[in-house]
Amino acid sequence: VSEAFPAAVDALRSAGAALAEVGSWAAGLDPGGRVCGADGAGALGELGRGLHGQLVRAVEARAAEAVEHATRMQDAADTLAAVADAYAATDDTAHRRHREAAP
Amino acid sequence: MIDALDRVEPVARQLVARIDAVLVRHGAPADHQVWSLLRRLAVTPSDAVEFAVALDPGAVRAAADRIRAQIDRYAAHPVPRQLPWSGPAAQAFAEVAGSLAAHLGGSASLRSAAADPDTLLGRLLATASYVDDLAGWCVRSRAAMATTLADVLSSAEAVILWSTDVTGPGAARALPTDPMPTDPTPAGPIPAGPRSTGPIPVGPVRAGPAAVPPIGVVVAAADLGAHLLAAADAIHQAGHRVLEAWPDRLARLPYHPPALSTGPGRAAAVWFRP
Repeated sequence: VSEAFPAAVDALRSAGAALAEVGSWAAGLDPGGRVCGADGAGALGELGRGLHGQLVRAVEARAAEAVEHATRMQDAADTLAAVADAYAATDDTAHRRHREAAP
Repeated sequence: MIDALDRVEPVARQLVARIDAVLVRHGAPADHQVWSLLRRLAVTPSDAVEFAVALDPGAVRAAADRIRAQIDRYAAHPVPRQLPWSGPAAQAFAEVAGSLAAHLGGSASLRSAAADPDTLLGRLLATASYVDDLAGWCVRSRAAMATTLADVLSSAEAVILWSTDVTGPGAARALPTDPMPTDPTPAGPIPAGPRSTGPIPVGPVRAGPAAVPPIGVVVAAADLGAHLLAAADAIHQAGHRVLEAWPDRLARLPYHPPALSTGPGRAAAVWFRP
């Protein structure tokens, strides 16, 4: 049991860190509007800007989702770590009292 | 990677510029279909070709590949749902961990087209699929414009335009080799009336003082312009279908935390399974 807590905390922290990396990665993904026709004239250019804008908004949404979920993972890891510390402290106290009470 | 448009567009560039020059300087027959296309797209044939040339499916597809690469990053770090303990706090943790894992998306759905769209993984896959769709549209658009340019280059109307000086002083004068008879009643320049699309920017072609071209030249330019703009119109419509097919699947996904079945007063109680 005592080994299960640190492993779970580490797993949560790793998942959170991976999500946070996705958040930072997404910021540099934009291929630029020109490749989607955003520099074009008239209705074609308007379409290109729409297609590129949708790509940018989607990537920004993925980045924001990932960063927010990374924070939730880290919060859950912190909570579990606090519970694990409390358990360990209680366990130590119980062992110490048991030794002190022993003849 | 070189495609058909890369090969045919440089060959057709001067002809398309001639089409633009005749349309801008001399208009088209009043009932010609080029007018409705000009009004709808607000571009010249040269603009339409340049739009297709600028599309870069390789760059777009590279973005999709980079998005998909993140899926493995998600899969490599599963959320632990079960711990060897019980009690209200353990139950609360299991509910929170289960909610976090569910919001992220199960590993079973990785790379699956049927992944739950209301998970982070589902939205990531949808984003990659949208970018794939966008890249596919770029490929199809370039191919369609290449085919249209090839049609234009090999047309009888192209011969008429090549045989006519539309760029120098006294522009659009039929050359001696012009196969079309000179018509004494040309269509005349683009009128400023209600059918006009207004001023259309002229490309690199420079024309001299206004000259009256043979009607055959004007009709030829209008026909070829309409052919190019019809291709651009189909590209435009296909692009709008791509644009409108995805917004719901790309929208930001809200997180709904679980309503914990254990109250905060009981959360401190933990029993570990032996």
